[in-house]
Amino acid sequence: MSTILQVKDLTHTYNADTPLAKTALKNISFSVEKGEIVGIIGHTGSGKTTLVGHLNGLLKPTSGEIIVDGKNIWDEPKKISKIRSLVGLVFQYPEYQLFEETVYKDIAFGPKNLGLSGDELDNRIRETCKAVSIKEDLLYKSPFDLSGGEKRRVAIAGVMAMLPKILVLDEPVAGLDPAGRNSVIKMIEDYRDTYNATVMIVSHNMENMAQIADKLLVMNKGELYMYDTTENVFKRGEKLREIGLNVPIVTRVIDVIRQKGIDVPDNIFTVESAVEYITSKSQKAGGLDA
Amino acid sequence: MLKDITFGQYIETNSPIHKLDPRTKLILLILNIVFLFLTKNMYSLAFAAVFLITIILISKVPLKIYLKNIKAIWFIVVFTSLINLLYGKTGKTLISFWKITITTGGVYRALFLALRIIILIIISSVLTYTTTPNDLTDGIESLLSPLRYIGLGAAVHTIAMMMTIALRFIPTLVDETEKIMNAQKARGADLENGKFRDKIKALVPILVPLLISSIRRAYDLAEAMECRCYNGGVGRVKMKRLKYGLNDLAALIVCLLFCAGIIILNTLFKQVII
Ligand SMILES: Nc1ncnc2c1ncn2[C@@H]1O[C@H](COP(=O)(O)OP(=O)(O)O)[C@@H](O)[C@H]1O
Ligand SMILES: [Mg+2]
Repeated sequence: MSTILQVKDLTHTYNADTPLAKTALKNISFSVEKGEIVGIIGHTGSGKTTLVGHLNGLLKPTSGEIIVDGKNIWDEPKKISKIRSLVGLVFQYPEYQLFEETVYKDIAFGPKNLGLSGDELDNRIRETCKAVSIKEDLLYKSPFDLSGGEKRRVAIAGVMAMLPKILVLDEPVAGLDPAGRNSVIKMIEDYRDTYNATVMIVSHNMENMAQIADKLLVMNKGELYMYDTTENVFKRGEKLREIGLNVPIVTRVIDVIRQKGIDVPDNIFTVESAVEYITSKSQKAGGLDA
Repeated sequence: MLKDITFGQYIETNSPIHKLDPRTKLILLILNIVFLFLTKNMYSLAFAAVFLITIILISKVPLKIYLKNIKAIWFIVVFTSLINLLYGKTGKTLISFWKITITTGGVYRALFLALRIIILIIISSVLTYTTTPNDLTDGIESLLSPLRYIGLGAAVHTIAMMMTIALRFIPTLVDETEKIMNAQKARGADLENGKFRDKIKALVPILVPLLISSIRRAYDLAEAMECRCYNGGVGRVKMKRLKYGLNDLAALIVCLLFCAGIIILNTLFKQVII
């Protein structure tokens, strides 16, 4: 595996040199390997949005460097818009950015800005939509006639169609119902698998994070609090609780079982793995009802 | 850049100006603006500037916040000054090349107008910085209430409410615009380069979502107001009644002195420029 993104000693101060100055990021350093899905968690105001805004050059670091594919993105400030095709950023509530008459045209907006046209553009849209399971018949509807979850998926597909090597999403599942959340999570996974892309997701939903993230980056008051594999972060529930975050509910249930003196592993973070473990145990014991 | 617009916000510093009756502030603001436009020479304008600085100091709102407004409208200031610089043909010629002549009169006019616009913007923002939206509505409503006698009773409250909501939503709209611009930039939209036609086209992806979200916001707000039984001004009583106090009288006197000062300086120094 090779490193695709490196953040070095990143500090960001809003309204620097004024009485309203606010340091939202302090000396953040981490690196991300190609093909990984990294979850970013932390309290409201901990600097998650500020961090992801730096990754595609919308915000400029007060100090520090962002290195994408071996190149400091601010080496040539004039070409900063180029970085936006390499790092695709999906904002919070991206459905508010839809504006075209049809879903097809809206998804086409990004690739068109990259210079695609004609058959190439058409192929790109259909290919991407297929990869992330957006149905053909949706393409000719008005984006404003879709349900909330569909709108969200279409808006995310609009960024995916630019085929960014790094896809960054700010709270992509916020405000969706469980079915909507799962379909968004699934489309992100599909995107990574199809295009071997790297993904960073900001989310408050620990269950979804356990499902999808390889690594977790925990932010606290503008500082990097933890950065490790999802397993290692969730194994240290104590440390998360210290800053008011928590592990997935399933893990909490398993913890309670362990405290009762029953020997259960400490790496169960999703309902699926819990079900799997319990079934395998009960089969070994000859079935629960045996 | 857009974020720099602080006009329309309320900033709590609990200064003597905050405590004035909103009606007083509205009237004095109008009076100030009228007399600002009556300034005829550098002396009376300088007097207005000194008066303004005093008001800023009394308001306790940091100067930086006022100056941010200027940053947001620097284009208008520069543009007006430039036009005046180039078209002023009085006084000594300073530079003359090709078709352009710059005269002392032109420079003088350019500076004069720039200063006047800056003072105008700052003095208007004092009102919104120091008055809560609620007080502002009450003030406007009370000042417009004579319209009742020409059969516009119902309109008075509506107009006041609309003005207040419009003011209140300036910062929100600015925020929203910035968010949408960023989102479209992230999708590769180029808002800066290209021909005039391209630039106009580039506005569509910003204006459509902005319009939609404004309408959504308006519906939400209307619903929230109805949920709290808002049904216009009819039968509505006030928890806080506006009352003039001695401080309002003092402010009025100070302001009248300011107006008198402008008139005196205008007549003493007859260096008319407009
Ligand atoms: N545009 C801005 N101007 C000034 N301060 C900001 C701005 N955006 C965010 N902040 C501040 O920076 C801190 C981090 O915010 P943010 O990155 O949005 O956190 P999160 O996304 O984790 O909720 C917060 O304290 C917030 O108030
Ligand atoms: Mg955020």
